[in-house]
Parts: sequence; structure tokens; C-alpha cells
Amino acid sequence: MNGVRILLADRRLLAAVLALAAVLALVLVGPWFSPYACDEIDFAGDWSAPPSASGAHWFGTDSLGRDLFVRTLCGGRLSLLVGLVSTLVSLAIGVAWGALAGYRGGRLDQTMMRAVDVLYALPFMFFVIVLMVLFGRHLLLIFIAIGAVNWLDMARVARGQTLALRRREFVAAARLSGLDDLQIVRRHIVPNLAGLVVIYAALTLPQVILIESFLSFLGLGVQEPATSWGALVNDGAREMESAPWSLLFPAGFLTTTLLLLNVIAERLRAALERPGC
Amino acid sequence: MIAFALRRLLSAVPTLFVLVTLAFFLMRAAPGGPFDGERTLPPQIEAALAAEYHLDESLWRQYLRYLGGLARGDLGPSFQYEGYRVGELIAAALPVSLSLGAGALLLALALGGAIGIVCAQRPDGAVDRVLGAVVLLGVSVPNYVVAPLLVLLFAIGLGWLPAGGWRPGTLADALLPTIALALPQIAYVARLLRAGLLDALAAPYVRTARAKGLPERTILFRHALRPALLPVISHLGPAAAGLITGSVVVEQVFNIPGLGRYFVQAALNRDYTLVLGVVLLYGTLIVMLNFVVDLLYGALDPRLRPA
Amino acid sequence: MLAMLALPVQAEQVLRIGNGPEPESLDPQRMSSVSALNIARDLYEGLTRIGPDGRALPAAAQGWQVGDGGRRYTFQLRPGLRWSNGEPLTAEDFAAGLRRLVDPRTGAPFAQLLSCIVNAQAISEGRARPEQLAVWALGPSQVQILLRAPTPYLPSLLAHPASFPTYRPALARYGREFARPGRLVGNGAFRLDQWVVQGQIELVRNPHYWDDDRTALDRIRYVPSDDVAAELKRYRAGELDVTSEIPLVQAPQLRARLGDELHVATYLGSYFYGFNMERAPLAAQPGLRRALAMVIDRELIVAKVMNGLARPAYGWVPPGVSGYAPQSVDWAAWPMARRLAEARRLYAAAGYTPAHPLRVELRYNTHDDHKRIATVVAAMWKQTLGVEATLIHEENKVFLAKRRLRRETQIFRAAWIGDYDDTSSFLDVLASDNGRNDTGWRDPQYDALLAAAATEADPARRAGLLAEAERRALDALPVIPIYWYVSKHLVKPYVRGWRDNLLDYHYGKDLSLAPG
Repeated sequence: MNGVRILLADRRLLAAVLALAAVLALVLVGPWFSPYACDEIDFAGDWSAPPSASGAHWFGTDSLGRDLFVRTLCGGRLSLLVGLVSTLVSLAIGVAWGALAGYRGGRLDQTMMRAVDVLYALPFMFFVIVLMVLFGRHLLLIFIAIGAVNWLDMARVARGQTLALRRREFVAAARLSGLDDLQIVRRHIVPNLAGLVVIYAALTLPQVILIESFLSFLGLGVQEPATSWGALVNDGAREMESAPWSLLFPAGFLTTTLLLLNVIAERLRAALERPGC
Repeated sequence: MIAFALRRLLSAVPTLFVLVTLAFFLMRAAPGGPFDGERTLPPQIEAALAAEYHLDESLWRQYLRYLGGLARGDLGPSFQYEGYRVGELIAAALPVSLSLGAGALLLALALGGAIGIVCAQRPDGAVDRVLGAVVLLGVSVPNYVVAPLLVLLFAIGLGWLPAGGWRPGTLADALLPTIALALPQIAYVARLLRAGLLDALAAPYVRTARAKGLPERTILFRHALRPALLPVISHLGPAAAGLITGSVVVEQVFNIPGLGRYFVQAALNRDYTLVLGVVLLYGTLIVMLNFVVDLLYGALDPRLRPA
Repeated sequence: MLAMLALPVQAEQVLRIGNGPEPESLDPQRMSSVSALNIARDLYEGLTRIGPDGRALPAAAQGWQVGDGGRRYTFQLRPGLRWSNGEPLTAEDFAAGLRRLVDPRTGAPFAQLLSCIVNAQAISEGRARPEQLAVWALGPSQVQILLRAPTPYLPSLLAHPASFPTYRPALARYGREFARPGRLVGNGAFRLDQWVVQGQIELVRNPHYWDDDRTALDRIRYVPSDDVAAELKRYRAGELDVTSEIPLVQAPQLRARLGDELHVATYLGSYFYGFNMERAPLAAQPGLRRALAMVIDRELIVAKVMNGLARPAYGWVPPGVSGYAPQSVDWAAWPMARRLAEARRLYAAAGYTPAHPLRVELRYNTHDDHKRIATVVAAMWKQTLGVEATLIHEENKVFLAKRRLRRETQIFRAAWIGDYDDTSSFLDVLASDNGRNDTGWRDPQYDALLAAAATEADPARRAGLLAEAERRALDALPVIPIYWYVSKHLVKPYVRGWRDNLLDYHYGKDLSLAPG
């Protein structure tokens, strides 16, 4: 209810959320309206053909004669899935890590935050590459690899917030009622971090989608014939002169989505950090 | 002050040690070796190469050997660039990346700062909205799209600037890559500064200052800017390490002999020593920059000054 | 003073060449990449070189005699040869270079290139000492080489940088770190002036070179690039005079816009898919391999995926190899409909049906072009036979390691670029004991044919034996040939002396820039 109130109070936030929902809906149901499948090569048709309504290639075809409309939407499914799962992974690790460290404090806190410092000093890109090389290219591993290196900010913020929460009365009350540390963290600390987590989710999601696209640039992305916005934009960037549509459509979707997510994150922060919420 | 700096740097040693150890064993866990190529080497040759680079020893001995070299300040020979030491490769690439990174950082601060200030003066005004959208676009377009577009426009279309290459000290060579590198950071700086300024302008002491009738310009630059810079600085610390160590994309598109591509290429080529060298450099930079961030924090906010 | 200013100033001729990935070394015995070999041919000079027509020509040697029924070669050096530092260059320098190549301690990737020399094989396997190599300096200006069997292509082999001489004092002083500016001493038309890793390698003309009078270029700048698209942009912006490659996707536009500058020629390279011949079901079922090979529409791949920058391959040895008539699979000339019908019959005979399709993994190393071809081939298999092929792209080193192990791999992408202009450069790769035979195919009769060809003195009979071997391989199909490479460069119209050739060798000393 709180969420709905925030939403209704901010027209721009509402507009961004609705627009994002529209993108999501298009990505999910759009492919059903096209006569083509995601990985279908039209051997007889034109390859790298510009957009046209006549052949039902609304976004044109790619350099292997596959329909770009369908591929853009399929790529969107994958990019958003990678984004969501990786964000969840990184938030889960970050919140658990930060809340535990912040709540227990003392030596455990120091050790745990020291580990975060060490990981901060690790060049992230190198880390992801090695993980990808080590564990192959399974989709699941991409999620985990990205999520596993992206939780550090969340951990720091969650710890800071927990330190503040720890001193509040309801935590003391919970301790008096005989709950153990883990229960307190789970029932009282983590739920109170929810606002923070929502903001961070909206901030992390676009980052993760960009990371996936960077991996595609390095050739470490998803497996053909599956695709993602990153992979499509990368292919399109290579053909930007000869077949600009192969860059424009996927890049348009990618950019719009990232823009919307960024707007949502910004408005949410403004709304949630306002005193009284 | 100096003692404090020394203590900070010393306390970083264990961090760097863990970092090197982690990277060493991670790299060795990856399948394939530095001398694997499309052209398989005969077993005798492979054995000779392995012996030459001590790859025939146990992993622990190699690890200790590497640490021993490190203690003597030797980063070892590169596996990929035969005849070059890792130290030399880094020393040759660092100035290039440093000048590009510093340029990008300055550009990001200047342009991002200006945009942030302009936007904060009339929040939600027309200027704020337009600039806000432009800035967001900067973070939302991958730079492997922006960089080739810049080349197409300014080098091939207009012919104003070179399409690539790096001649030391040539501004024309540095311009496009600096812009490509700075673009996302401009956006971050602008957003963080705008948010920081809005917070600061709502703070009680600013209201007091306003009540005293101080001009808006004085309030902005004298009172609000200092605290508003704090989040910008804490973001730019680690970001600077990334800028200074370069970017694969920008270096690849502009054909620049910087450090960035070593992070990727050395890992892909299993150039173990070069990987460790650049990882160590990155780690050291992060530690140093965090220190600089703390100092700046102290300078901007006396409460945070070390005792 | 005034008179000096009035003198016409001859502008320096500087050629800027896009050269692909950064070379790993400029040590002729330790290098292996095409980009390093390109530079080596300017920095050093072997006894022979390859002429524009692909034949071996005298280089540091002014000529040679063949004796002992084709087993003994005596090379006569040109008089007054010098290293780039002015020191005299002798026959012993060439002999030492060859000994260094076969010495296993050198770690030379091309150590086996000259295994036709007596004792070379034994030395590189550690069973003999390098001094036992049958290469001798007869006085300061004659090099003699004794071969195990007549090897008519020896002069071509000696044009390969692996056989070039290295300056022994530099080697003794700096070890493997000698191949750097200020240390490297060569005997080529150019010497090393500057090397910025990942930036550029700049050569300057070598005044001590015997043919320096006829060298036109003053400097050659080799510019490395990991990114063909970026290289093309620099070419278009006028920052490069020659490119190493052409981005496939842009070929049609380039052909239309820069047609005159586009140089495409037959090249000594095969692109193929290999089968792991140690794993069921593909290893045990030649019919299945045949079916998979037949339904690949090579013409379509070349036309649409490669945009014409390749040739459809129906054989293993590329066309254009000297003294050899290319062989091809027996169904090469069949119309597609007949191939499809036969492939379906073979597929069904192997026990596969739409309800129970063949499931295979097709692995390739991460690269955009490999990805596009694998995607299309998998779709062709699926459409014509119903094969369920899973594409797996792997980072290069992982891919190579797995391919070599022959455990996980089923079908893999591979390519072979010939080292010299002879059929054996290709056929040897499929021999049972060849370390580069990643298929694991073992055919004693194939090996016997190669062995017989190796000792055959009569060129026509030798070609016959080799052709029979190739036909055996094409019947068994341990590999599916897909296309033959072409060399592809953009060359500015003012670059003179550029001649396309089979090995894609371009010597800086042959090139010049048109005035103006």
C-alpha cells in the first residue's frame, strides 16, 4: 500500500513504471504476433534486409536472414531475465552479508567488511572473465557470476543501515523475547531494509544489463541461437553503416529500458528518502 | 599525517596479498595454458617451454617463486609478449592510460559538475529535465556503440580528428577516446552532484543562510557545494581506478596501446604474470585512491578528519 | 645555406600496414603468428624467398645446385652479405639458424618444418644433438643441406622465417630477450627501429642490405589491431595504406565503394569441421558423417555468410598448390536434390528418425564469423535431416584444450593454414601420429601412402600417391571441408608493387609509394 501511495504521488515515477510494464509486455507477448521464430533462418529470403511491412519483417532481418523484430524481443526476454536473476543474487548476498556483519558487529563485522574491501580491489572485469572461462557459458552461471561480483555496494549500504537499526527499541524487544541473532536479522532487520533494497534493485538492474552486453562485446555472452540485447547491439554495431536498422532497434530497446530503470531508481530514492516514509 | 598515510599503505599489504593469491590460483584453475595455440606444439617443444617458464614445477613452488620475485620488485616475464618483462609492459602502457584516464576524469568533473549545478538550481525545470534526459542517455548507451559512432562522425565523416592511434603528446589523438571514456562518468557526476546539492540546499544551515539574505550564488558555492561533493568523490575514487587502468572497448576501437586490454587479453591468453601484474596495479590504485578520497573527505568535512 | 634550402627535398616513403593481432615475438625461430611472420620477412632474409608467382627465388643465396638424386642441396651465398650492424654474414650463420630451429631447447613452434633434413627429427625429439644436423657451412659462402629423401619444395621451405638466421652475439648476450629495438640485428631489407607494444612496430631501411639500392620504402609502420572494423576505419580515414583483413559484413559495401582497392586472392587455408573419431556415434558411422557433410550448402555459406570472401570447399587441399591436381568428394558435382536424398537415406540407415534424431554438440571458439557459420550449418542439418545440433562456443584456450583431449568434443570447428606451397603441408595434418590431428583419425593406409610419397623422386608419381591419400581421407571424412580461405586486403591505389599470391607474402622491398 505504501508502494502504491508512492507511485500515485509521483506522476513521473508512475509514467516510467507504466512504460517499463509496456516494454515488458511487448517482450513477453510480442513474438506471438510475428510469423517468425527466434532462431529461424529464412534461407530463401533476403539477408540483412531493411525493415518492411510486406515480408512481415517489421524490424528487417539480421545478417543471417533472421527476423529482427522477434530476435529483439527474444533478446529482451533474456536480458531482462539475466538482469533480474543477477540482481536478485547480488541483493541476496549483499543484504545477508551486510545485515549479518552490521548486526553482529565486532570481529566478525571487521572480517566480513575486510573481505568486501579485498573484493573491491579486484578488477571486476577480469574476475567475471575468469569465472566465465572457468565455468563455461551456462546461462545460470552468467547470472551467478555477475551477481556474485556485484553485491559489494549493497553489502556496505545494508551494513550501515543495520548498524542504525540495531540500536532501535524493537530489536532490543525481540532480543528480550528470546529470539536468536539469525531470527532477529531475518525477521526484523532485513524487512526494514526493504526500501533500500528496492532502490538498489532499480540501480543494479541497468548495471547488470550493461555488464551482460559488455560480456557479449567480448564474445563471452549467451550461446547462439539464443540472444540478448547486448549480443544484438554488438552485432548491430558491427553493421551500423551497412544495416543501421540492426543496431537501431535493439539499441533503442536497450537504451529505453535502461533509461526507464534509471528514472525509476531516481524517483524512488527521492520518494523513499523523504522523511516520514 | 605522514604516519597516518604510511599506516594506511601498510594496512593495504594484506589486502594486496590476498588479491594476488586469489588471482594466481584462479588463473591456474582455468583450462588451457599460455602455449596452447591452433598449431599444437610437439611434446618435446612444449616440455622445453614449460621448463623455461618453470611451468613444470608444482603450483605451490611457482606461487612461492612468484612471491619471491615480487619481493624483489620483479613481476616476471610475460608469457604472451616474448622478450618483454611484465614490469616493462605496464610501465609502457601506464602513461598512456594515465593521461587518457586523467583527461576523462577532468572532463567528467568539469562537464558533469556544470550540468549537476545547473540542474540543481531549478529542480524539475525545463533545463533540468532536458539535461537530465541527455545525461541518462549517457549511462544507457554502451560505449562500444558510442565509440565507433564518434569515429564515423568526426574522423571519417568530417575528417576533423584521427580515427585511431596514439602519438604521445598529440591532443588530436586523445580527444575522441577521452570523450568516449568520460561519457558515462559525466552522467554519474551530474546525477550525484545534483542529488547532493538538492539535499544540501534543503538543509537547515542553508535556510539560515538564505534567511540572512546571502545571495543565491554564494549559498550555492560557499555552503552547499562542499557537502554535495562528498558522494561525488566517494563514487569517483573507485571510478578513477577504472579510468586510469583504461577500458578495453575504447582502446580497441581507437587502437590505443593502453593498459585496459591487458586485463582481458592477458586473461584470455593465459599470460599468468601479466594478469597478476595488472591486477596488482589495479589493487594498489584502489587502495591509494581510497586514501585520497578519505583525505578529500577530511578536507571537505572537518568532522571526518583523522585524529 | 641558401643553396641547401633550395635543394629539392625527397619526401620519406613511409608505408603504413594494418597487421592484425600484436606479434608475440620478432625472434624468427620463436614466432608463430601470421602477423609476426609478416614482419620477419622484412627484418630478416632467408636463403630463398617466394616470388610473386609463388615460386621460390634466390634471396640471400644467389643460386643453388641439387645433387645426390635430389637429396643434397648446395646454396651459394651472395658476395659481401652483411648484418644490419655492418658485420659480415656467413654461411655458418645460416647453418646456426637451422640448428637453433630444430634444437628442442629453443622451443620453436615450427621445429618440425624442416624434418626433411637428415637428423632433424631425432634432434627435435631429443635423440640427437643439434650439431648432428646435416647442414654444413662449406667455407664462408656455401651452405650444404642433406635430406632424408628428395624434397623438391625445400627452396620454398627455406623462405619460411623459421629458417632465417639469427645474430648469434645478440642471442648470447640477451637470450630470448634479444628481439627488441636496439638489440635485434637482422639481415633483411629493413631493421627494427621502434616497437610500442599494441601501438606500432616501425622498421627503417637497412643500409647494409645487399639490395638496398633498389629498396624504395624508407620506413614501414606495422600497426596492430584486434578489431577489423577499427582497422577499416583507420584505412578509410587515410591512416593506413594496407589492411590485414576486411570485415565480412561490410564486404558488399566495400566492393561497391572501394572495388579497385579490394584485393582478394586464393590463399593456402582450409576451414573445416572435424569429428572426434574416438567417440560414438560419429566415429563408427562413416555414412552419418557423409550425410552431415553432404547437406551443407557451401555455395550459400560462401555467398551469404562469407559475402563472397571464400571459396566453397569439397576437398582437403586448397586449389593452387604447385604440381597438384585438387581432389574432391565424389558427390561434389551432384545437384543439391540428389545430395539431400542420399543424405536422408544414409541418415535413416544409421538408425535416426524424426522421433529419434541425432543429437550432437558443435563446438567453436568464440568469434563472430565462426558463430555465424555454425548457426547456419546447424540450421541446415536441422532443416534437411532433423539433426538436433547444440552450439557451444568456448573461449579459445578452453576450446583448444578440449579439442586436443578428445573427450567432450563431438564436432569442432578448425582451420589449417599451409606453411609452404606443397600438398604435404595439408595432408600431413591428418596422419595418425601428427600432433595436430585433433580428430584422432587413424588410417594405416593413409600413413603408408604419405610415407611412400615422401621418398618418391618422380614428381608426377609423388602427386599421384598424394592424391590417392587425399581421396582416402575424403572417403572417410574425419573432417568436413567447408570453405577455402582467400587473402583479403584493402590496398590504397598509390601503393605500387602489391601482387596477390597464394601464400599472401608481401615483401616490403618490393613495395613503393607512387609520387605525389
